[in-house]
Amino acid sequence: MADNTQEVVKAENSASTQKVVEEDKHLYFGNRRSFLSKIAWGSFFGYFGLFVFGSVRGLFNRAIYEPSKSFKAGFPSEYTPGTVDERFKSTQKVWIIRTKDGFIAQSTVCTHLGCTPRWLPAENKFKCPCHGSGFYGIMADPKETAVNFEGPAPRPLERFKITLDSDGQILINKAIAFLGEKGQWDQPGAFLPFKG
Amino acid sequence: MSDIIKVPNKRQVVKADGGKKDLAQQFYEGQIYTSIFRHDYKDNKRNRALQIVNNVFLHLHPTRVSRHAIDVGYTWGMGGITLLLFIVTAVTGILLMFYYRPTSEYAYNDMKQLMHDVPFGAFIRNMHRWAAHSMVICVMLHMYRVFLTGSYKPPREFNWVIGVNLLVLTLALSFTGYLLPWDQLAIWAITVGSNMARAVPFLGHAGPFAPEFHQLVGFGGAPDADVRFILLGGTEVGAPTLLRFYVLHTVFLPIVTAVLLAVHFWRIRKDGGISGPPMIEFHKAVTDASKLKVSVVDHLPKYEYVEGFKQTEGEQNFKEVVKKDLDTLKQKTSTKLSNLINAIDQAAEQNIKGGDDSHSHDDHHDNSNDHNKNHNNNNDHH
Amino acid sequence: MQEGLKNFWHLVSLPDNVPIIGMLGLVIFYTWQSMRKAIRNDRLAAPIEASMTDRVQVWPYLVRIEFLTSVVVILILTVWSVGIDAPLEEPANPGRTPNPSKAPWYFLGLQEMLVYFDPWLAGIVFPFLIQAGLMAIPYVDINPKGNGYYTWKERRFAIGFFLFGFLILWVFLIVLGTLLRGPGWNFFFPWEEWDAHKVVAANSRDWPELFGKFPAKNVDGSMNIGHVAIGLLSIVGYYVAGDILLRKVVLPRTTKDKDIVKKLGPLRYGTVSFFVLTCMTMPIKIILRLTLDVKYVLSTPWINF
Repeated sequence: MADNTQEVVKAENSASTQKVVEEDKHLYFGNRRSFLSKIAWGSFFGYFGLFVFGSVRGLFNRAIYEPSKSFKAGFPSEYTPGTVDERFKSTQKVWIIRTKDGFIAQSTVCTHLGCTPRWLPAENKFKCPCHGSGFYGIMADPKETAVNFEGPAPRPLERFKITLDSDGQILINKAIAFLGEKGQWDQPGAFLPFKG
Repeated sequence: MSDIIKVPNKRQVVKADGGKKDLAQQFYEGQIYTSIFRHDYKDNKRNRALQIVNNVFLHLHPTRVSRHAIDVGYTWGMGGITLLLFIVTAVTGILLMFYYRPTSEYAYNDMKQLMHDVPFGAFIRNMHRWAAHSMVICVMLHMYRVFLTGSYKPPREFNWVIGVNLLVLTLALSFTGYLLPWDQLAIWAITVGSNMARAVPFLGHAGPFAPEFHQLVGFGGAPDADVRFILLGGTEVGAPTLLRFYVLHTVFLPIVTAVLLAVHFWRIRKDGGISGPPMIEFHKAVTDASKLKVSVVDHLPKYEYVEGFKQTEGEQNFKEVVKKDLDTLKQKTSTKLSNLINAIDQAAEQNIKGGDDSHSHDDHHDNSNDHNKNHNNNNDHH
Repeated sequence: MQEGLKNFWHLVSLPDNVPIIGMLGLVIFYTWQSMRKAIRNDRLAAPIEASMTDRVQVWPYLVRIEFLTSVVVILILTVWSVGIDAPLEEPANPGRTPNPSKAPWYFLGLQEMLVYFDPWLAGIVFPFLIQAGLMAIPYVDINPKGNGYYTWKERRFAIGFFLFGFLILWVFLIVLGTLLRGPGWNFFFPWEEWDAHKVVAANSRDWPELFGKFPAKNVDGSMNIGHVAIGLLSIVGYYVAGDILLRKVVLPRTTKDKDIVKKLGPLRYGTVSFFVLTCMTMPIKIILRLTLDVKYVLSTPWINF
């Protein structure tokens, strides 16, 4: 039985290779029939590919139902210089830090794994309860504020774009973040200069 | 037996005559392909049978069917189309479930979102609705065809009953789904439909004899304690109705329908496949119409595989192979076992002798012979 | 007339009505095709299907047909889904009922019955009887002929009655309910405009009142004996007379078998008789209502027929 099948294999293989060689002489990758057949099967799989693509694309809605990332934080006069203000900590996840030179809108999301650090004014640092990451508080050089110095945090806390709105209120846009480790704290919007 | 079942080891890239196999041959004889399909790629009768028998989805079918059973002018294909539409509605329905929330605050807005904001949302929703309407139509046309061809007559009576229940389930699925968009069309269509429920005798609060029944049993005569309340979850069509209909539409009714579909297909196979006129020419001369039998094909895979093998390798080959393998087995085993093998041997002889390859009356005759002979032989040896 | 026809075209082209037009076309086509096959089979000695009983392999012949059919159906569905949007009307407002207010199309036959029968009858009893009657069919049909092929002559009664029930009482009523029933569930010809304020006189009376002064209730509020008597007698008389007609004329003549009732036996014949006669009460009531303005055949404080 085994011998039979092997011989059959041999005979069939030689016959089929012969046929292929002859038909290769025509156009359309073979012959017209196999060309149309390829088109037909191609459309069949193409349709289902399109369906899968459409289904996955459909999972990305064009309209997202989340609150706006921009908010107004009140007038600069409401903040005392040299303090970290926590009024927007729970509602917007932002600390408003007023130094003697201006304002910083600081993210409350720890850069280690996302917990919310505590502000410890006595020790002048932000300390994360989850794994002990520590970030500097208000320092003489504003570029030191919120830099990670202890614990597993790999980078400083992020800052959000902070500007003065037309009506004089502080406008914070959380959609735009500035990363200290990339030197972005020098860019306009990372710090709002304000005296008085 | 080893030669029949195992595919010869063709994993060498070098062929018997020394030439190299081309890419296609390597693929079709490679480990990945043969582990999935377990039979080779050549087009012969045996592989055609194995293609059906070895496939979990396709082995719903037998390996061979009567020619008139594949005639679309006879069957209209409506049963198969209904199944296809059920699958289409299920798939599109699941996609819709990513956005639709079944509460009165969100339902309508989610529909608007689907039609305008979600990419391809309108397409999926449209396909769901049109496939659903088409399924109701196709189920009715299927019933129509089955009646006109008398395919509910014995032995298929019970399958017709299952079919009627599937019809009702399809209508219920469509009805529960109709409410979900929560627009004016939906809510009033369902109000009209469900107001019938308040007129149920005894159990509906506006039905005949309901007050008397309520006094007796405490149920049926009040709007908050009648059968319509079970449907609506309230005294009017409202938010609880929406949630109930949603659960019915997406979970309960599809599961029940799927179960009944399985039974429906099982019965089709067991009752002999697509109905056809009695095979008068294959029975002994029978003049009384009531004695004509409907052919019932044994669906066991072994039988179909053997049939396929017989067609491919020829009956003579089949007998020789069986004999050779049984001889080998006999040599290797003890007396008791070899006696048993003798018994199987004899039974196989009977099977082959009585079997006629091209007709199917062997289905009736030889299976019964087989069973009889087997029992007789076993008795002899004990 | 112009406005009315525009209205009719608008109706026919409503997205949700497109499947119904399609269904109508398919039903007409398949009825014609199956009757053609039936007549051909009846003319021959054996049905053509009997000559096609040789076996062919499922792979490829059946599997190929299934694959192509799936492709065609999905293609039609895709074009349909891209071209015609499913309807989404105004948000649900429990305080405002649109006019007309129709059930989903497959229930329009039953909604039509609501015109002629009380809700409990049209909405509960009839659907239940339809389902029960359908399920009973295989058990009361003892005719061995016609099993697996199209025929007419060999199954006259079965096919005739089913065609009447399916084509007239189901499909036609759906089309009627979709296209010819307008505001207030009033009847409008295709060329008539849908008028929400159309006034239709509703001066209907009960069946016993045709025979004399037999109102449902007497002036003092009590039940009228004559009314109940005539009503009951009419209903019983209908069933008795209908049964005799069925037993002596219809069944033997259509099945060409004098002993068909005896062969059926009392249980089977009783089932057939009950379902056929109850089914026929629907068209009869419709005719009574349309011609003689009859509302109820029998009206009691508890039930109305």
